Amino acid sequence: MSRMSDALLRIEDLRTVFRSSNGDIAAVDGVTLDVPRGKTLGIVGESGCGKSMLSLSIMRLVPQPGRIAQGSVMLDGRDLAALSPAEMRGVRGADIAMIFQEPMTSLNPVHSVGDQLTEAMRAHDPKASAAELRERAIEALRRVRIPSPERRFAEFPHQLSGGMRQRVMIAMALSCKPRLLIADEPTTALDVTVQAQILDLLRDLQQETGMSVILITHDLGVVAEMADEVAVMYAGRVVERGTAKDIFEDPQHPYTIGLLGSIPRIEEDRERLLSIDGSVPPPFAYPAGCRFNPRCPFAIRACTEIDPPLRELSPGHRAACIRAPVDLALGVAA
Amino acid sequence: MGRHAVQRILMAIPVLLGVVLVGFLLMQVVPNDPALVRAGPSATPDVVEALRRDLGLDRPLYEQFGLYMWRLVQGDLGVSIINNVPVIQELGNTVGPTLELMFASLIWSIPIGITLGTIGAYWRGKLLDRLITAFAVAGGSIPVFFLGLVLIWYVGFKLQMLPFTGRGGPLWTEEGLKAIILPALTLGGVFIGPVARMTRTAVLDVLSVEHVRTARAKGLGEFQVVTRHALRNAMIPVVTLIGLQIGFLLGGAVVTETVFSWPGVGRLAVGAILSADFPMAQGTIIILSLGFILINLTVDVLYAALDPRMRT
Repeated sequence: MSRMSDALLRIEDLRTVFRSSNGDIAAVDGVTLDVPRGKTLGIVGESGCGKSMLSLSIMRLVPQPGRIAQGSVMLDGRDLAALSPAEMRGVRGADIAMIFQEPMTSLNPVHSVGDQLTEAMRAHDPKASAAELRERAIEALRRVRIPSPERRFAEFPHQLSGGMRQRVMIAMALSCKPRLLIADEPTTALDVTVQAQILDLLRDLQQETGMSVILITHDLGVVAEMADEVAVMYAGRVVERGTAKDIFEDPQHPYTIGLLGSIPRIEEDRERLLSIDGSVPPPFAYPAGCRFNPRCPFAIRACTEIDPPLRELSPGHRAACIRAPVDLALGVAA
Repeated sequence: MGRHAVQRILMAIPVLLGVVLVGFLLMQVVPNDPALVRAGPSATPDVVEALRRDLGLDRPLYEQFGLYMWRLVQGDLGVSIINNVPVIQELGNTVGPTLELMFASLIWSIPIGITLGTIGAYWRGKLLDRLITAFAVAGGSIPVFFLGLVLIWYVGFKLQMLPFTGRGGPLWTEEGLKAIILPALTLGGVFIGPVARMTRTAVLDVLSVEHVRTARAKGLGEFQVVTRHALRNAMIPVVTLIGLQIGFLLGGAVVTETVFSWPGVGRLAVGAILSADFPMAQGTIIILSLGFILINLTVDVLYAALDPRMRT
């Protein structure tokens, strides 16, 4: 019960489907997840695992022909999935803000930086004067450490570097003081040195504001550096969930182990597990049983029959694998 | 941007020269003898020969062209073979009505076309989109003269609601306004379809770009998302395409003016060609080409104004 009360966002059995000629295809398939207040939750997985679709589902921005088929998304006890479109618009940008992978294309090339910033603020504060909005926008640019913000205010995105653009995106996202920031691969498209700066900035801003952050990435290094808690997604589902310490020091799902590229104790299996063979199956071709079983070095016959639920292995640490805890599985294998 | 514009204007000069040359040569291959036309059917061969010398038609072609060019740069386009009126004067009288007609046709058809195209793109694949697409294809396929004749027959003839021949007067008078309605409906009517289709494609492209998602994630309403973040960006290609289409619409203006006896350059051109009035025909070709070039120049300048990436 205590876990429930310190969650800012609770996702319950969320299913996001896309209509196709072969029936509905689930990109997010029964995800239950809570986002702790004032902390950073890292969501990790290979591309195609449904992590971006999960974040768009939270925002209710799933592109056509997709839709949320079931489940709830509770923000502080308010079900976002049940809000009217107008109410949901009031949540977007104000309560939950989002930044995206491509700072090149995420800003509109024909509007100035200042226009795009003030537009976001005006949407949630229609009575503010132009001068006041300008002031606040410049302050927002200053907060993300953009030099000479007054000058940048009037510039267009193409006049800025990739890192600067991502800073503008962050400034825009934080301009209405959201309680939750969803950062979808925020540094993937940036140079390594710029990546580090942006991550530093995000961490500082999170501590400053006390907001929660969902950090979506395929980069475990980024997660290790940033996240307090981690959810590992595979084929539309959360397969492991725990604190960063749990996930990095004691991974329990074979997929997580594979992602980390290491396996405890069994040296002869190391080579094989350094990478995971194959790729995430597309939603229309999920195998029966555990969805990871065709790629899993630990798979046994039961894995092709039983669809494993998330099981609590230690307080707060859960994995969806019938062979977990792994020590035991390895014991059997040996 | 200033340099860009100057460059474009300089580029227009050789284009215009080419037009003059082609127009001149076309008039040479037409199997009509200007001297014969001018002299009339009852003239004796001596008279025709004298006239030919007068008009300089006995000189070599390059000399004739040189002479023509020399006069052209002085603003002298010659005189009409038919009625001896200076060509430049006739053109001056007819350019106004043609501009008026173009303006009256575009002022309503472009906004409607853009709106329909945007609606179609937003509700892509829905019934509304299909209806608009069907309408656009049908509208774009109707020949100008046919739409003109239908309007004349129904609104002008059957309902007796509006005049359908000639210009009623300046646009700010009631007669002038009434007289331009049917021609403007005709010429604008065939323009809605192409504009709607181009807008739909352009908006559809922009709607799938990430910054539209950013706009939604900021909490903007759909109207703002579509107008400020999709249509505004889509205007960059749409303006170019509309500009090109307006050039082709000049051709439609020729037909519309003829159908409605509108005293514009188009009708003047048709009349001059039919009566083998070579200097006049040549003059109208030059003026219509000039219009085409000016439209393209305007598009270039607008393009730079719409796209901040072009300004630096």
